[in-house]
Amino acid sequence: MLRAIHLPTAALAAAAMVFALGSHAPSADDERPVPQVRAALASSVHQLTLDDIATLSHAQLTAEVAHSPAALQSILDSTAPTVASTWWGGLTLATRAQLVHDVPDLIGALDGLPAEVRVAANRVGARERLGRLDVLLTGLVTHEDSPSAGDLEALERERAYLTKVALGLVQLYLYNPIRGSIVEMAGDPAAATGILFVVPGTNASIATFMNDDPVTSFANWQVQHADPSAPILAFTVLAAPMPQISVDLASGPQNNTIATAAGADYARIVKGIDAAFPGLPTLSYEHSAGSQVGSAAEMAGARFTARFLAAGVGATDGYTTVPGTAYYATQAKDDINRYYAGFQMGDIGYGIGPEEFPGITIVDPGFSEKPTGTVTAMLAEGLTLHNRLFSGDGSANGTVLKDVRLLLTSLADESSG
Amino acid sequence: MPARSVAATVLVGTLALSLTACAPAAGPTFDAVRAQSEEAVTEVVAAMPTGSTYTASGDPTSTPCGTGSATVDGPRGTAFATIQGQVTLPGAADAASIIADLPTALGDGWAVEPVGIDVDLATVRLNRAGSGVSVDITERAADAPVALDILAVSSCGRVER
Repeated sequence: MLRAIHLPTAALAAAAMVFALGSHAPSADDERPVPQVRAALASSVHQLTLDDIATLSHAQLTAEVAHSPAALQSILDSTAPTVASTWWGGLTLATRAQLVHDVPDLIGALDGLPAEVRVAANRVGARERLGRLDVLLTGLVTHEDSPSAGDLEALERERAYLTKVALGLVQLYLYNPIRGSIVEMAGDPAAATGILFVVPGTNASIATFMNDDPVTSFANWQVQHADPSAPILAFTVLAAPMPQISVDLASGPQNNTIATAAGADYARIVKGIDAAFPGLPTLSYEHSAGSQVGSAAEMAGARFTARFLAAGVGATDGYTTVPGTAYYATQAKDDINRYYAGFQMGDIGYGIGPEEFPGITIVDPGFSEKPTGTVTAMLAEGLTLHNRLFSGDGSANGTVLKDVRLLLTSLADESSG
Repeated sequence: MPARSVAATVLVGTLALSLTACAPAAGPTFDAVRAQSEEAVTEVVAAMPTGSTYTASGDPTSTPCGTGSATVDGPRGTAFATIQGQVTLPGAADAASIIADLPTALGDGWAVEPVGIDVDLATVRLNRAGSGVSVDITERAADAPVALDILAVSSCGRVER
């Protein structure tokens, strides 16, 4: 903290750069600021309850969805995961199947429901959205005002991704482009002995789940290569729009309010998964600004067996660790994070560096770091090392990938013992 | 020049450097790095007590390398290998002792890497010199008879088309 205070200008400049996290594409154009969306929803809320949903006919439900989608969003926002879990448990199999078919966007987003139910509902929802995308794409192509290449590319990218969802190649646990949230699941819910959450940092967006080097690669490797005696279920979580790199210091990712707001949404998702998988140990792997999402989630009541801060920003002032949770932090010696860690002025920066968490275990990332000759080279190297800690590439991030694998095995072993 | 412009210039320059500083297109093929990993696992299994049996958990997997370690064209056309398997030890074997003695048993050409997580399970991480292959050998506590989990990860290789 002292170093940052002595060099506040450098710290802020580094902050503007560090949050780039480099390797992922800018946000999708379809993500709107959360407050704007929520205000729009709140203005037209029509009261509807879960019990109503279960008793309405197909025609009535279809009419409700068309007439007042805000009413469904209101249910999602106001229903506690434990209440949703109990409600679902009281329905007949036929009613459940009907709801998955009739209101897939509701069932696919209702925290507290079984993961496989949500995935099934989102698969139905993906098929419906694909149909709408096809109509949209056809209209765009034939429209006399040709859309930009970027617009077309974004739609084509989403179409390709949702096609994989519809085919069952990708398990979608949550998909809400209007709110800028997506959660992809990997693994078998019936076999899981532990839960891994992976929280990407700055520049994460819905689009970064759909590109050639997706943010799901870390979680996917963990699921695919888990110790066979301790299979895991993983969720890569974009709970809400994340900070996007900006040279505007007042509104870019160095503004801690964005990740803090996402923390409340992350807490709700975590509580939903806790309700669906009671008793399973949970590990939250958080990269860079994603660690503020994790810290804010804890402040909002989420609980984890362990948190692993990878090149994390840490937390804002006022954060306190949770008794009983194990904390781990890793970052390279020259990680660009170190230039600003522990520096905060109001909404700018993060006052508690990751290695300042009481009792945290510092993990060596196993990088071979070379001295750099110039400031530019030093910053570039610091950024590269920073980004490597979110990679699912065993040749770039093998030490931490395997440490997390070992930790998951150990947590499952302790839980079963 | 306004401070904001300076920051933007430095930022863009840094990002450009980070993107162009990736590994060159030349380098080992995926087949080569996978073979190195298989050889490493074979050596580890050979160092186990007489009577041990090794069972592979399927074929080696091929995972695209990340943007950082792939070529400037991105992760397409690159991959690293992961090999998983299990060694079942003979009846009275002590898994913890075998793991502790493994670096000595393997001898020169292998180096011990630190494991960052302190867990109750016996484990060792070994790197095979000159290959970039890293192998974790970990006790599987829940299993009977006694077994070891083996996980090997290769360096990044080019996928030849």
